[in-house]
Amino acid sequence: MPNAVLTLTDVQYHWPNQPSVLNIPHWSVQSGSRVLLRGASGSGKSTLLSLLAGILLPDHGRIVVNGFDLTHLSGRERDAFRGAHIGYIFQQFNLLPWLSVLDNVLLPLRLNRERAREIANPEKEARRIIDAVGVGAHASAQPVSALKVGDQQKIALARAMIGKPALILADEPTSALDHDTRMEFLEIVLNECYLNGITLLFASHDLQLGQFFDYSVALAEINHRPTPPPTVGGR
Amino acid sequence: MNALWELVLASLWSRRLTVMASIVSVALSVALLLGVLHLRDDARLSYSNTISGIDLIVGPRSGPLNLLLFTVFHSGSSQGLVSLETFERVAHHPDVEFAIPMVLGDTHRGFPVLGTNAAYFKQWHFGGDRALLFDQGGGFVARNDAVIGATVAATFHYRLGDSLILTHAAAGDNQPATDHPNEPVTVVGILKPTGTPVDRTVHVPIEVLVSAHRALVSSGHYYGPLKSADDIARETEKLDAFVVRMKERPLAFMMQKTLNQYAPEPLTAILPSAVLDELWGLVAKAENVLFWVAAMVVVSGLIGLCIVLMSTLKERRREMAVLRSLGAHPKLIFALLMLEAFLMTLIGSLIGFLSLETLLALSRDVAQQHFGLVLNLGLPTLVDCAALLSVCVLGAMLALIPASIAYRQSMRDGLSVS
Repeated sequence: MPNAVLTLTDVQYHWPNQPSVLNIPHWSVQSGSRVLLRGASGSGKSTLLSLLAGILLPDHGRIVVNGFDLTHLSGRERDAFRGAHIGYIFQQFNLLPWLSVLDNVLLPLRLNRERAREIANPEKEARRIIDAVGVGAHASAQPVSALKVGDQQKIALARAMIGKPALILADEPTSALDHDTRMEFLEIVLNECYLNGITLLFASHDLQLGQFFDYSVALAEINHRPTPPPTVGGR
Repeated sequence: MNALWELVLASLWSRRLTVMASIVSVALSVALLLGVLHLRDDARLSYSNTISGIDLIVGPRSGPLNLLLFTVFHSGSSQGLVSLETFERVAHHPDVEFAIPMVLGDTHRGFPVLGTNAAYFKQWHFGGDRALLFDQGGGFVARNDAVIGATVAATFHYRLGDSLILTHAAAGDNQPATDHPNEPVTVVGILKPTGTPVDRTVHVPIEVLVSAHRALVSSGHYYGPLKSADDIARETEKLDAFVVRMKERPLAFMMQKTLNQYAPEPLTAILPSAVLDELWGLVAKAENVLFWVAAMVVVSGLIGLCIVLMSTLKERRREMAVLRSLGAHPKLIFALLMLEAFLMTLIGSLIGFLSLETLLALSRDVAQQHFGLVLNLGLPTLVDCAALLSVCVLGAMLALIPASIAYRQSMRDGLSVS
């Protein structure tokens, strides 16, 4: 698949002292698509995202993201790769409380030169994005703690988007939001990724979100975990 | 690298209250340590600076330390007397360049009075090879002249021509001191400050003391131990001690040996530099204890700083995960904590150094006036630099603990903080 932004081949992973959590023979995602990754909590979504971000290495198999074979990179190279090509959004507490809103958004550019390469005026770009995600540029100088939770998630999106990474990985980014804020956030993240040609992999346990994405995939569909042996009673 | 600095500064600023408290505790402990080191150096210097150009101090049979304390520091009490004959004999010995007599024990308004002769001002040296210098006036000319040290002059605002009354040494706690009203002395010279006990001394010619004591005896106002008038009269012909300069220094050993075995009367002759070293050895023991106490205070200050950092690690795990998601290697997180600890140590040390220097500058006059200590100020000395460097190195070493905990934590956590 020439247009794939990520391709997994024969990937297996298990946490230390635990049975295998992931066994993915093949999976790939088209560049520019916005994909919902469904799965109950504890099903291995976060583990998969960590593998795609290059934080974890698979026991076995290949992971190619944006043309980089992560299994052939060193730890430092994978960190540099993540800084340059991936935007990551956590469920909550995305922002460093001791930096202003603007400095939080600028942080990826400061930590990775490659990410900042095509940006002539980082501050201007950061303000533009803060405005684009619907927080309003006036919030730039504020401390993070002054923001509502919904706005904090939008700033996290702004930070993930700055410098146009190839892929945004979002791990349950709407779980901490109420219904209205969730819908607003969803609309913004889908629009911005579409406008900027960023691939979005959005992990959630919320089945109702599927209708808003290009398509949704259940982790269970791609993950061929060996069925755990039936527990024998009496022991 | 710039990003790292910005992160460190912003992170420290956000916790400025606890950071400030840690810095203050480091600053205080460093100031204490440097203070002890300063005091040690300055005290050592003050001791070894008190006397020079003198090869021997000769007094009645007593302990060497006692003799030194009595003659040079004017503390303690006389253990006996030396006859004028002995003094004359030594003074006229062919190997002796000069000998200066000393009579001690009287006071003037709490300051010691030293009876001596005019040669004293030319021959007594201090601080390596510095001669006594007159700020105003000059040495004795007449019998009732007095030359006062800088501290005496400053304390009572004495000027040339002022008349002073000397007080006879009290013989015991119960006995009142007796003034010598019949023999007032006139200030004819004021010495420049030396930073030695000379500053606190009133110098008068021996003759005036002799005649004052005689007058005291004949007036019946002598409250000393019961002695016959003859005894007292004889004592006034004696000296408490005298100092000797040989024509060549090595001759002092021979003379010392001879005088220590002197048949006509029991004497003690000491080499002042050797006894000063011995005295310093005693003081240095106490100073050493002080130094180690101060060093321990510094260590506990630095440990406190590390505890502050470590207590934040748990709540900062989330921050570490965020930084990692942005492409930071755990080494950056390690560097972040190291730099935070180091910066706090460095700032604390510098504040400690500067506040000590300020304190010393303010207390300089007081120390010199009351303790005869000359405090040296200015740029950090080699010892200061070594101490500051040690503190920073120790701080960095202790910082390895929170930094490596954070490193391992962020390695293990990755992006998921549970």
